[in-house]
Amino acid sequence: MSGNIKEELKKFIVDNYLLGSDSLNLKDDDSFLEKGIIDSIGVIELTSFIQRKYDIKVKVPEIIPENLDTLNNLEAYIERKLKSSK
Amino acid sequence: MRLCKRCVMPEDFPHIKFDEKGICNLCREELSRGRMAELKKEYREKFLRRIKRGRGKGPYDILMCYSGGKDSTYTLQLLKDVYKLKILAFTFDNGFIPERTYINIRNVVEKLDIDHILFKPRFAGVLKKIFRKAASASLYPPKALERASAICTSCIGLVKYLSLKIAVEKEIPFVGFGWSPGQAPVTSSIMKLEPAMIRTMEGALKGPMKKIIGEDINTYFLEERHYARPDKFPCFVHPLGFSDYDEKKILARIKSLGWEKPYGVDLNATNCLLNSFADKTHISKYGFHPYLLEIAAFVRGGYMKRGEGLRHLPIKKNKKIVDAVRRKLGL
Repeated sequence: MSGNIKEELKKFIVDNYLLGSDSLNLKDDDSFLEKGIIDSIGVIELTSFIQRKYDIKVKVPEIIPENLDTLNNLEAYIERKLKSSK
Repeated sequence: MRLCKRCVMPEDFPHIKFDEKGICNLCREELSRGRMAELKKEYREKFLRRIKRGRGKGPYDILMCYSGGKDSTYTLQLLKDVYKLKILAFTFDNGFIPERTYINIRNVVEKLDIDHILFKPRFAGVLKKIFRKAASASLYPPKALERASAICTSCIGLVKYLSLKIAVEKEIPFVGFGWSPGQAPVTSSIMKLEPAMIRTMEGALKGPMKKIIGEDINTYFLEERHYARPDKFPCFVHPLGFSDYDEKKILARIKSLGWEKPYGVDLNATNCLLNSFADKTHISKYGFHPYLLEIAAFVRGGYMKRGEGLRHLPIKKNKKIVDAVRRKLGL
């Protein structure tokens, strides 16, 4: 499950923010924001994607780097949300 | 090269895939007109609820980033006449504002009776260096450059963080932009971000600029004293995202405010002489027009006919203006 989430997220990031090519060789702990991979509109797109894909509700105070800024953080955040919704 | 039969996206643009009918994935994924109308209504109501809560609590209800172009002029009058907000208009002078635009700005703020500030950063020591570098090097990551040239990204970034500073200092609850429906999706039209997110995003823009300008660049970005007031961080709003958008009606309305199209600007920017040069540089570097996504979204959304969209894409540059830009930048 966990591996799938990370792979799905990575595919979304590479397809949508790296012009389809992982030329930055995106690592699991790379900051999307510090590397400029996503901007403010990108944050909204990413939030919409994970809400749709994993059927979770992202609250505004949860839109913080600790939850959304790396593949590892995103995966952990989604897993927490899925667990708490069960 | 094949272009999408519905919008104007070319087949070789990153992450664009055509189906057997020659329709691109962006057109296939486009929301129906009905769903889009619902979303606009939802966001318009959200904005009304938010302004009801925030109105009248400080000297201004909204800081409007006012470039003097047609879309920000129209947004300014929407905020004043439709939403009845107390506005502070903020213009960032990048050194390439046409003379007519200064007149337009003065006419419009006087006619609408709005307070206005104009900020012009040092040109030789700051803007010229940033624009020169943006024209020649890969300053920003690829995603940012899908929507705008590196030169425009630099300007917009400075506007965004300067406006944030002003809003936090003056305790203004909203910062407004005149993004057209093609420039930003309706789902981003009301956006409140946590300061921690903003700080990290700010670093991505400030970092490359600091390499060019040095510590002086800090002047134009948020400081610790701003981050120490997280409750004063404003909500970003671009009302054209949830409004009806009809260019003919917009031009007629702003004409009545004393706005006229300046000489020397191109089809895609009505307030900046740098634009044609920035577009040309972008196309040479990346092989696509920086307005491509915006124009395609306009066509897809029914705001522009496909033929008109295609007319917006070739660079019809005014050589005299582009040469003057080059001279001013020392290129």
